[in-house]
Amino acid sequence: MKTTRDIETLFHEAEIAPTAQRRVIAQAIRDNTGHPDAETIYHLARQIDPHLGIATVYRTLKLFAEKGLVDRHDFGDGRARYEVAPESHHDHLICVRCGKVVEFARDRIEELQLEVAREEGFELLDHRMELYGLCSECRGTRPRILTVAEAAADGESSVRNLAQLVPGEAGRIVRVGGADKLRQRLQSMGLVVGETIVVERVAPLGDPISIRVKGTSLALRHQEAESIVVEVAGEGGSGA
Amino acid sequence: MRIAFIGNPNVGKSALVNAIAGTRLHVGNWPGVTVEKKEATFTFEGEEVKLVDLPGTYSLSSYSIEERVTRDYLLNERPDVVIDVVDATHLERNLFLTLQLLELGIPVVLALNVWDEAKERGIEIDTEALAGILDVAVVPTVATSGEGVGALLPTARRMAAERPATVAEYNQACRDAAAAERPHVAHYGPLVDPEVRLLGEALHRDAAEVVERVPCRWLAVKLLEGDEGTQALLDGAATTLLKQVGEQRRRIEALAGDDPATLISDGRYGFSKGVVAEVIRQRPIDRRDLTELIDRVVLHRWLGIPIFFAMLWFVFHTTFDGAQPFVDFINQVITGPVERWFLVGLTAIGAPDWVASLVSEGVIGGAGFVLTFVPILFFLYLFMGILEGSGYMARAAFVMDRFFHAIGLHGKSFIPMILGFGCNVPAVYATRSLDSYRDRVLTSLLIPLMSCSARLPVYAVFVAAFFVDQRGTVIFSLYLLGILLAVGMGFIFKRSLFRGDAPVFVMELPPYRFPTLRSLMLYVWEKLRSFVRKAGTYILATSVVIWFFLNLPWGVQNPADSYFGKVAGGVAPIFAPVGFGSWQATGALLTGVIAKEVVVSTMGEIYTPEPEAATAPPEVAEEIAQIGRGFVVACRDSVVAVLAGLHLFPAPEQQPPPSALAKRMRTAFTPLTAIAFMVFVLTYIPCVVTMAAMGQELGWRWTAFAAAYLLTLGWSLAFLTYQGGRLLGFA
Repeated sequence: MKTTRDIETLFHEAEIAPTAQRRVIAQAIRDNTGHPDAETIYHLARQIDPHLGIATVYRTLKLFAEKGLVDRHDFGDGRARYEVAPESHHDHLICVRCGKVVEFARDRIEELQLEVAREEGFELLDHRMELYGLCSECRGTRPRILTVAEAAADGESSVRNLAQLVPGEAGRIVRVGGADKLRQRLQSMGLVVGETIVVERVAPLGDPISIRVKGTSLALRHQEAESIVVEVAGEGGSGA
Repeated sequence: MRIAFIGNPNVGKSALVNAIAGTRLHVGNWPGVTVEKKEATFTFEGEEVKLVDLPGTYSLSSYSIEERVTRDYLLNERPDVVIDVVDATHLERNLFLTLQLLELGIPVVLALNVWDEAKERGIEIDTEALAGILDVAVVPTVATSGEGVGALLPTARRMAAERPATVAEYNQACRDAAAAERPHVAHYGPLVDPEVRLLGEALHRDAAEVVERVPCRWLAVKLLEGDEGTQALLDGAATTLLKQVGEQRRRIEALAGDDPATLISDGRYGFSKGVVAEVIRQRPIDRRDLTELIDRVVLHRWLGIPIFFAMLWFVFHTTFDGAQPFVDFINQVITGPVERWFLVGLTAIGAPDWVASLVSEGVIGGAGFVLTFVPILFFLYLFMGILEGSGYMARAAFVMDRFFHAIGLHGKSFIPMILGFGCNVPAVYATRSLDSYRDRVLTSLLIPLMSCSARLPVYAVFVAAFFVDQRGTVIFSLYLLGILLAVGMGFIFKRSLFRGDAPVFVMELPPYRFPTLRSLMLYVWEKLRSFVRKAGTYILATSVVIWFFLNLPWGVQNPADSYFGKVAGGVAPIFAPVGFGSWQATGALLTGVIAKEVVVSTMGEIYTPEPEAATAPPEVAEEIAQIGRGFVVACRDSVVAVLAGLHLFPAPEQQPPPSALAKRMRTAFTPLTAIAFMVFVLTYIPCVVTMAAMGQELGWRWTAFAAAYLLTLGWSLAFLTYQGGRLLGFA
């Protein structure tokens, strides 16, 4: 998508003296299509020149941005991200989970923007268009997280909390909630998102339940089981 | 070479440590906390090895004491090599801890334990590939048979020599290679990894001294997890760095929609999964045959509870009835031949009478008293060892948890509480099976309210004197009162002292295994040795101190004139409002601190002094033969008692009080004061041995608290009983 222009041309156009270090940094930005942040650029650049300091990287990036060699973006994640200033204008799609940036250009959007500006009596100098959401990969890895209430309201939904499962039912963990201490403990014992659990049995007095996860049996109380949200596999009861 | 053993609970780590160090193991506590610390020092091929067995833990965070102890040891002591014991049949979950260990940069030897079981289940692990991916040494082991155990120490030594990773070297390695290129370090995804690097740089910049001691990457990951215990490591640089950590955590959370700790856990498991997929050739079949079959019965909806009680009854009955013949035997030997031999010996070397009295009553009496607990504790530990080693203990907790949850306790608390009816001492030691310190403290605080068998003789004396007709009712009411008080106090403590500190009840139900005889015996031996050495010392000292109080000033004849009598007389007014303010009653209660049943013998002495009958001492040879015969008889009686006995509580008839005493008691007490006195005996201060056990298990502060709260409770109840009774018109 990106036009890979010659580094020398870039420096020439921006009127920056092409020192060795600057060249390394510019190359690092150009070769990474993912709109890297300063730290990433630093690490990429260090693979070429191990003696590079982070301060140099910051200084150089500031210079590049001032001179228009790179564009500086703020996608709301608290760190500035850079790309080599493109010859042609484009907009961005930003994944809020993995931070991936996708460039796109649509003439209809550009036209629409000009139209809006005209109607409002605006003289358009510049614009940026950033669309936030989940990328195709992130959408695939995690099911939408429902709260228990939502799940119940949903009626047909197969998302429930672990305490609502009966012995023999199986489910895939969608979310592990609860206080830090509890969550940490549950996770260290193998209760993590994506894992499949089977409810084995309920204690004679009705409270702790025993479940099977990662090949081990664990006992936990309803209170704790409530903080684990699972997606029940198939029709309930056939999971075992 | 300093070696630390680490591993999840239930992976057979103790068995492995036992197999290597055996009787050289020294059992103690970690400083400041009552988590068991096992260590051994020995020479291996000319090199001194210091071995430490770290508590079983699932993670290196700082939420439980076990985790904290393990983490602090690894950070502060930094052993030369760590032997990480993992269950080969549950590799994926076990690697969760291993990956955290690797971040510390200490050379790791992975002991793939239960290797035989893994093979049986068709799990083939490519040990070379595993070693390569994780940059560790891998040794397959079978702790129960000893297979592979011999290779552990040489491998550990090789690792320690090959990877001399100081913190600085490890940090440098981390900085040199971008983390992405280090295959054995888990990745946490595109959201967390850059933050780890960023924080790492900040740590090098702002907390250079800290990073010299603590591996930078590990520190950064833990800080991003939000681990509170780790924040304390930052010292002076804390404020600015914690602000940055907070920002970074918020950033991750905003983008991921999940908290950083979850992402990091996900990352570790993701990595473990990858490793397992890489090195395990045949996916394990998830079958549990025997364990599943046993659980079907033992945890059955209707059978579960009866089976639990049957098991409990068996333990209780065997512990106390089986031990009784040995207790009697030890008593006879100590107070008979041994004491006589000492006296003869002392007279022969011309020691004065008071020395003879001190030795026979103070020292031998005290030591004998300690020894009488040994048979009881032997049986107790044997059963605890079997219950824990086999995996049933976790099931017992599972079955009974609902019951105890209400008073803020754990299902496992049931066993110590019930044992308390026999004797509080083993009960307090049995709290070791509880996982958290909080549960141990709370359970131990309630145990003294379980009316132990030593209190029974006291009730028996009073019942015989005042309530012959309602004997059963009175004694049963006292037991019931104790139980109700325990429930009530449990409720109060849960809502006051231990508020907001509710333990997380997530417990593994390990597969059933046969405990090996060797590890059982080592377990029992360790515990008994530690009891005799630690608790025994306190008891002996107390016994000697009390002797002095009873016999000073020199030549005192009447106990009332001794310091003891004076103290009792001085304390007595405190007991006036509760109905028994005489120095005799107070004195009896004071000696009851040594052991509750002593209250009876003291009352016997104080109320009806009688001369001891002197018998001609038999020949020494004859006595030794008698001791031998006595032991054989004790063994036989023990077996008979275990097989035949069915009574949970020895019947009160077994101690018929002297009728002379009963008569004198009727003049000294009224039925009302008798009840008040019994209520007080039920609740007041635990005996010295119980306190010694509590001191050993909980520390002295909690022990002092227990004594204080029980005294207050006992006094208040006796006060209510006495004054309430008077208001209702009883004399």
